[in-house]
Parts: sequence; structure tokens; C-alpha cells
Amino acid sequence: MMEKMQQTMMKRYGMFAWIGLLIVLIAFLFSLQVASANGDFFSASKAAREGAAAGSALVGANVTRHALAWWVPAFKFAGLGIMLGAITMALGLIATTLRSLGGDLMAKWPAELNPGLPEKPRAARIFPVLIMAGWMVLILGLVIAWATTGLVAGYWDHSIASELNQAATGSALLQALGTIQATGPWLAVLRFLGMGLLFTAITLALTVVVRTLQHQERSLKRFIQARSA
Amino acid sequence: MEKMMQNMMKHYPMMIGMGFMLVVIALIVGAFNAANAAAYYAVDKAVRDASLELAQVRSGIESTVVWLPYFKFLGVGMILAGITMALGVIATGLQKMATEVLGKAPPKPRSAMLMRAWMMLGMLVILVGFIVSLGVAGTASSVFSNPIIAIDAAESGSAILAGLGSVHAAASWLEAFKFVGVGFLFMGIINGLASILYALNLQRQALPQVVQKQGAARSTAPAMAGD
Repeated sequence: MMEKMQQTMMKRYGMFAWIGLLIVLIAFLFSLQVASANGDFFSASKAAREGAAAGSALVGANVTRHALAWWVPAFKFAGLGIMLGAITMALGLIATTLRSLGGDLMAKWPAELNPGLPEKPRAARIFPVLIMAGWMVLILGLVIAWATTGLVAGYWDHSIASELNQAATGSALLQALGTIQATGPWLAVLRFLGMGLLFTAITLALTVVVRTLQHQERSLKRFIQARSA
Repeated sequence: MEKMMQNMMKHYPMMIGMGFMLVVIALIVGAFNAANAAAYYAVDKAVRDASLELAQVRSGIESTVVWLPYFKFLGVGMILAGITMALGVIATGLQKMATEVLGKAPPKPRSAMLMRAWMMLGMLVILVGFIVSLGVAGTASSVFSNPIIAIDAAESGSAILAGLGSVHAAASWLEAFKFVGVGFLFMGIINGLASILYALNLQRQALPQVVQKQGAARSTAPAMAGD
């Protein structure tokens, strides 16, 4: 049942690739918005940037450039991760097709020479799990980034000179800054953990392809030896 | 054109080697830049902010920070393009094998054409990103060759602030742009894998036909020998 579901999902690798690419393109559109906010913010003098009051256009631009830059990388990596998953699925499908091809070919051999299909390698069972794990990690990172975007926007929605730089120890503003500074680095680690899991899945899928080809080569050699004997 | 493409595809090890070389060069340049940055930040802030001489050092550091990631991604892009080319070579080999076995060339899948198109589009995007980053690096160099106190004191509408704004704006969209290039290269790899799958499925379908043909040839051979 699970096996059948996996096979059906793997055949949809093209759809997953398109979804991933679409997400990467949407992330690019958001980055244009960040670029525009950066352009607006840095076109003002340092004194004006830091002195701007909450609610002003400059503080609005500062909020946009920080809030979008907070979650867009997680979104972009989710897209790339989905594409890597699609690559792994296509490799899995190649391994399955090679196995079926070998099975079809060996079915034409005399029964005494037919070694039969080997048991599925363990790597073939592990790589779909790794794709799922990689996707889950990337989605978790995206959800956390989205959940904390409000905090980032709320922090930067203040005047830099009169509110942020004057924040006293124990204030809500400094607590928010602490949380933002602490969350950022491990969110980045989470992104690379997800990508690492997906690259491992690709390696395992390639191992399955190589093992399948090696098994076919061995079977063919045995067949030729038996026939010539 | 097709022949030229196929010949180009065979040079995938060169492409991967060149890409790897660019990544190694990026690593070396990055190490030198890190050493410069360490020397720069070893000086106290008051001197750093006021010194025109140190501003030149900072200008080098900041401009390198702008162009180096795109140079590195150019290398990574070449490696990914090399992988796509290798997949193309495998798919072409399988296609040739099918032609020999079937006695006629099977139809070419659309994915074979798309694979090359995505690969070239991806490389183009990454190359454009790199060229733009060189321009932005020039702007960053001219902005940061001013002492920090001059940058901080710059008035709205000044050339320094216009430059600073354009550096920050370009850095944000260029960062996502290079990933668009990587996305296109991934699409190239996926289409390369789809071409291999197509060729394998074709072999699977042609297998009964080939076995039947061989069986018929074997059964007629003794009869002909008997005649």
C-alpha cells in the first residue's frame, strides 16, 4: 500500500519540479520588493534614517526590508528543496524502471538460468524517507520564519535613534532583539539541514541505480557463462 | 546544430573541472578578503571611521563581498551544467542503443530539447548576475572609498547615498536572482533524467519485439542451413 503510494508520487516528479521553480520565482519577486525598500531607506541621510518616527515612510521601508529578508530565504530554500526532491524521485523512478527492465529480460531466459529479481536494497527504502524528512525540516523552518516575522516587523517598526537605541535592559524591545538574534542563526542551520537530508537522499537514490546496474551485469555474466558451458 | 550540441555535451568533464576551479579561486580570494577584514577591524573604530587610507582597504573588502558570491555561483552553475551535460550524454547513448536494436531512430523526447534550454537559461541567468555584480562592486568600491564619517554625514540626494542605496538594493535582488539560475539548472537536470527515463521505457516496450525478432531469426537459420 505504502509502496504503491510512493511509486505513484514518484511519477509526479515533474509536477514537484514546477512547484519548486514557481516558489523560487515568487521568492525572486519578493526580493525585488526588498530591493525597492532598501533603495528607499538608504537614499535618506543617516540622521534622517535613524531619526525617522514610527509610522513614517522610512520606518515602513525599514520594516519591509527586515521582515521580508527574514522569511523569504526560508521560502526560497523550500522551493529549491522541492526541486531536489523531484530530482531524487526521478532517480528512484529510473532505478524502478531498470529493475522492471531487468525483470522483463530475465523472464525470457530459461527458468534454470533465471536468478529472479533481487530483494530491494535498503537504500531504496531509506531515500523516500529522507526526502520527506528534508521537506519537513524545510517546511518547519518556513513556518517558524513566518511565525516570527511579526516579531521582526514589530521590532523594526520603531524609531532607531529615539526608541531602539534607547531601549533599557529588560525592555520588551531588547527581549525582541535577543529573540531575533538568537533565532536567525539556527533558522539558517535548519535550512542547510533540510538541504543536507535531500542531498543524502539523492546519493542514496544514485546508490540504488548503481546497485541495480551491478546486479544486472552480474546476472548477465552468469547467464553468458552458463550458456557457453 | 544537433551534432554540435552532442559534441559539446561530451565535454562535461571540462565544464565540471572549470566550475570546480572557479569555486577554488573564490575560496582563495575569500581567504585573502578575510585577512584584509581582520586587519581592518583590528584598528579602533574612531581611526577606522576617519581614516581615508583605511577607507581604501574597506572599499576593497566591500566590493569583493559584492562580486565574490556570484563568481562562486558561476562555478557551482558550471558544475550543475556539467552534470546536466553528463545526463545528456547518457540519454544520447541510450537513444543510440535503441536505434541500433530497433533498426530505426526512435522519436526524440521533448525533455531532451528542454534539458539544454533550461541549462543554457540557468547559465545565462548566473552569468548576467555575475556581470551585474561586477558593476555593483564598482559602485560599492567608490562608495566605501570614502571614510565612514563622510558616508554617515552624506546628505539625501548626494552621490554617496545614491550609490549606497543602489548597492543595498542590487544586493537584495541579486541574491535571489542567482537562486533563480540554480532553479533553472535543476530543471535542466530533471529534464535530463526524464530523457533517460524515456529511453529506458522505450527499451522496455521494445524488448518483446526484439526477442520475437531474434527468435524468428534463430528458427529460420536451421531451416536455411537444411535447404
